[in-house]
Amino acid sequence: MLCSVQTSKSSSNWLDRLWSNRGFNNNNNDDPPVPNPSSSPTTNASNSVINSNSESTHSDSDQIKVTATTATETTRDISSSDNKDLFLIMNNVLSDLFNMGCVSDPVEESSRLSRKKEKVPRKQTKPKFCFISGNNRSLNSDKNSNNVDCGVDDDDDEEDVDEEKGFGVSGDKELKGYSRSEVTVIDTSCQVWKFDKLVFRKKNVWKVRDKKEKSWVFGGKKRKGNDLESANGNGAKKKAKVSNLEVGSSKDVNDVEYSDLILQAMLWLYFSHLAWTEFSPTVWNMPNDGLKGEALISLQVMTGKVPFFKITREIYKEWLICPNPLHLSTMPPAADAL
Amino acid sequence: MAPPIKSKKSKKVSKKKLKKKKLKKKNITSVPIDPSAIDSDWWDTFWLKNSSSPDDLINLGPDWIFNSAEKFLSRQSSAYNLHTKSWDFDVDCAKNERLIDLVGIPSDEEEGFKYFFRISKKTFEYICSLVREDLISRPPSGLINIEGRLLSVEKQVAIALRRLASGESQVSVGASFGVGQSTVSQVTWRFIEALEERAKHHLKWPDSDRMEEIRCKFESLFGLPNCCGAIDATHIIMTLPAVETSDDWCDREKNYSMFLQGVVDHEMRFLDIVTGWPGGMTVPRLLKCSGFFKLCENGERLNGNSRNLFQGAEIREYIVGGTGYPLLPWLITPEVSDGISGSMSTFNARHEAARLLAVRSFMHLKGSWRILSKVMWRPDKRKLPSIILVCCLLHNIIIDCGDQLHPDAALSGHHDSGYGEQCCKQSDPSGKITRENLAKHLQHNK
Repeated sequence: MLCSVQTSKSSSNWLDRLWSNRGFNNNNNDDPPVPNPSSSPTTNASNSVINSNSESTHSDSDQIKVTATTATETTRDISSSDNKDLFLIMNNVLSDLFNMGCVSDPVEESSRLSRKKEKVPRKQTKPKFCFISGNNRSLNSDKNSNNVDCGVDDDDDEEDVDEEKGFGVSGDKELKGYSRSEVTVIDTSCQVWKFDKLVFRKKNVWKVRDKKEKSWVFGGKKRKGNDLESANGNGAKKKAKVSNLEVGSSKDVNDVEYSDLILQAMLWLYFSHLAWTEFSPTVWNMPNDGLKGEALISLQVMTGKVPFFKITREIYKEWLICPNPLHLSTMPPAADAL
Repeated sequence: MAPPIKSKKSKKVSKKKLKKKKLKKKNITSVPIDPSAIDSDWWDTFWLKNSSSPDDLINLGPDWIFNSAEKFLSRQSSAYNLHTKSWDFDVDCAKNERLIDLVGIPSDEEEGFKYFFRISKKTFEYICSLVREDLISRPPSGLINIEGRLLSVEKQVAIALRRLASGESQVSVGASFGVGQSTVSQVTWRFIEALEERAKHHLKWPDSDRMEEIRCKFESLFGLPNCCGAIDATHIIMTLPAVETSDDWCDREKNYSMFLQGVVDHEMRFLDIVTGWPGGMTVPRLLKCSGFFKLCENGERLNGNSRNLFQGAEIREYIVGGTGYPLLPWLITPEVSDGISGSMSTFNARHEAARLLAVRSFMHLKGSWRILSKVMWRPDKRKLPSIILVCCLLHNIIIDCGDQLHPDAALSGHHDSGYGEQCCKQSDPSGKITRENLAKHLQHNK
């Protein structure tokens, strides 16, 4: 759903497109976006950003009315200090998760967002070092520490040479001309007795590498479900959706958890903005033990300040389908679930 | 066409006669079919079906024996010859094996149990207790036999053990228990999965107290001070489908095989194993791929107190291995060069006696659990290491439970027959010094 947004408006970033997709007009002024009922796809044919998917989500006329009545109040509330804090938190979360660069000042950020005429590149111009892979590497090595690294050191044998290092582009090139075998090894000297390895051989030269596991978006417990889905008729369609949500080249459990985190962040961003723009008088002015408080807790969760909580597939589905966050039965996650 | 029909009839008649005779002999009535009942009298049924005294054989006559041997031959004793790319049938060998099987079944039930399952009834019960939670059958989805009764844990364990012990085909094992081939397959794999999780404590590197005991035993038995075990490796031979054939799995004897390396103590108990690496590797390569090697090299294993010998020589903890292994500070191999001294030849003899513990362990392992010694037909290479591990665990359980390893069960000859030991030239200087010190020590204590 998130990835199905068309990119016909090249000058807008994905957040702009998201707002537009939800039927909110994003003006050129420095103010945060204001929901515009006239930008409904049914009434405003000139809005080129809106795709066909958004029509169904905005068919609820009641929702549009609510949006219209709260529009002016939203503009006022945005400037409040609480919302500035939230904006700052969210930007920091975005910066952390998507390597968008450090955003220190929300005003600067909002002005950056509003620079519509400037062509914003889709990719980072100066990509930061992605800490995900490094993080995973260390986590992975912790997980498989086994007391013993069950691999093979560089060897100075005349005939045999083997090594065990991570796969890289150069590593793949090195392995040209090697036969490749997948082996399942049981070694009682390792903490985890059973593990998979890749064995490459060219005559007397052997190389042993770790076998990377398949990427699953929804973690170990979800694997069965995915398998079952792929077994039935709808499997391919559902799988395709899942693959759209895949982040990077996550391969192991840690990656999966991380992609879960990113997915949550995206969803939270999405719904937070909806709430921000549509329901701010009723939502954001609530006391801290209300929805706002829980939203902040969730953001803290995403930034790693509180333990990670589990979101079930059913909740994901509901989040994806339901256009109005206040209509969700499972939204937001209850604080006691932390 | 007529003669074969006659012979079939005669076979059927002889079978019926045999069954009637057995039933009369044991005075056991036919088992009532009750779908809700648990199949707990499996042993009586199995024993009736599969035991035969020498008298029976004499009464049956040579024709029946020949037919049995022929049947046996048709279903298993075949091997794929990689050179001729065809199946070889060793008729004489199969006949002999089967006849030995038939004649060798003990008349005593207890001994018969051990003959079929390699373990005593007491050990059998212990193994059942280990895996009971994982194997218990519950209606309606529980495994059932052809009589419609739920398979008891005991029967499942018996089926799996028989499959591992005999190495016979799943159809053949199923027939002896009155279950189908798929049930044998399912039950065996469930048992393997359960045991490899539940019996891990039977295969572990000994703690310092136990290691002290092992060192003392090696010294008293072989005169080798501070020796902690013996290492050896064997090939588990298999056939592979054409699409999976790879030179990696093709070993130096042109068989497709998987390596199993083990370190054993003075009681032939496996202390450490590694399996799953392709047979195309060399033994030194296999060693270097093992976690045991890494631990030893890092000083995390075989790192106990050194022993002071005469003239201040120190001997660290070590294991003994054959000439196929490299000489390392912690792995002592025999001296193979020409013109070795008297002291070194004494050392070699003692060393060989200690090393034979590992050889005999593998002979027992592959003899007791014949699934490992028969050519496995296109096994799942992801599952084969588990099968090997479970056989090693069962081997250790037998020792730990005080069952005697049946001497007849062991393979005759060598566990890796056809594989001559290759000589590894790699030698570490400190390993050489240790070996010389040991030789001097033995000479001194003569």
